[in-house]
Amino acid sequence: MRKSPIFLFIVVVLLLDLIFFQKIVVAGLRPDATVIVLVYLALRFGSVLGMIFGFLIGLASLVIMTTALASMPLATTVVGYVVGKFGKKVAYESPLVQLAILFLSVLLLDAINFLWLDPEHLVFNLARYSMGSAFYTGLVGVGLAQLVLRLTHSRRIV
Amino acid sequence: MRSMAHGLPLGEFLVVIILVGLSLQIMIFDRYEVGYSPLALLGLPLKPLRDFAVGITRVHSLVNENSILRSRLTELAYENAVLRQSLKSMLEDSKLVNFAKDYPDTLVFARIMTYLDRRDGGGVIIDKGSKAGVSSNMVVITPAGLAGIVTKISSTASHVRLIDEPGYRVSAKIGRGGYTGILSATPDGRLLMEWVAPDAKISPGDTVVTSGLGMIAPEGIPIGTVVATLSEPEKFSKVVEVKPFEDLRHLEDVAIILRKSPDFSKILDDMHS
Repeated sequence: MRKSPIFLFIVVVLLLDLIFFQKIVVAGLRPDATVIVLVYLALRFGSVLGMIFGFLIGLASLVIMTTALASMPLATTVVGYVVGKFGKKVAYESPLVQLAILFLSVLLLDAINFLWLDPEHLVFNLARYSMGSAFYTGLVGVGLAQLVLRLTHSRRIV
Repeated sequence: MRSMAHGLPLGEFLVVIILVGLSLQIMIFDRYEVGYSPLALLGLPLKPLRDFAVGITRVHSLVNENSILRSRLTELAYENAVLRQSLKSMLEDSKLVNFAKDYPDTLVFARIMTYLDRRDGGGVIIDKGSKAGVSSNMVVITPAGLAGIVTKISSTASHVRLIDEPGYRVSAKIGRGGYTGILSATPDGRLLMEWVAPDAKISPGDTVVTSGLGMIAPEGIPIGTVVATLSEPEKFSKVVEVKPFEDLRHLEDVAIILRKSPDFSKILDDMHS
């Protein structure tokens, strides 16, 4: 297995989520650490492990957080699978491609959750609440990945 | 070996089926009351983690509250209005106490801990849960009127869906003529009352209250006033836009009516027998 700082990156993301992400809320938008962690795990380990990680992350958020939606395990499972399956078919090492993958992953996750929560207004909810968060999550995820690469002098995060 | 149906490797196909199946089961279990949900059993070993997460939420909430209080205190010091503030809070308390005395059902008062982002399901988290007797589907009100309904509970906190959020529906009636309809919210937070009789005589300013027909919200809780009326000839009904009495984006204290919604399956069984 080639060396990559993926686990260091995940620890950094989770720690920052706990202590810092609350403070960088811009216009009500907050980076989604769950998606960042899940996307990089799925890119690193492929569709099957991506799916299993996705399910466990969704289940954990449901059991730990009172507010998580019941559709979260399904949403994270699907995102883990899709990213693991198709992420490796694109030039995922490029920051721009990672940005696009993170963006689309947040939209997919939210689409499944909104289908469960409020299917009538799916398109409106995605346009109003998810687009901004998806772009912001992409920027923060790629930025942190680049930061960890610089700190560890590695060539690739996944 | 490849699965026949999808061209996926068999192992991968099985994992897909198992995980998606489990996820769908979880979504079905979510419909259970908290005490009976298999998820509650699953969550037992993770209780310390859950408490930790609730603790973090509380800390964030306290930090926010602290900064608000500090800025308020500074303003008050400059204006020398500390006494006025105390007086105001005493009046608020007495208003709540009087409200509770006058109200026919038992009420539990709760504070809003946080407003949730719509991506997290919207609504608010209040600081009372099953330990205080709160359970899902209980109605949440303020002295001004209806605020929402309890959708999820833990032992010390509950999630409340507010009436100005999509997904919440309540049977309502327009005070003067008693015309009934179903009140729900648009995605941009406006309240619309649909299925009102086409010949209903309604004018702006009329009061809208709960009808009690849905059997969840008791009859007569104020909701708001009529702003405008639209006709929908194709539905043979009117749509009424309602302005809520309460500013639902700036709630601080709410009350939960400790009355359980009826067990509809039992009612149906009784009818059949």
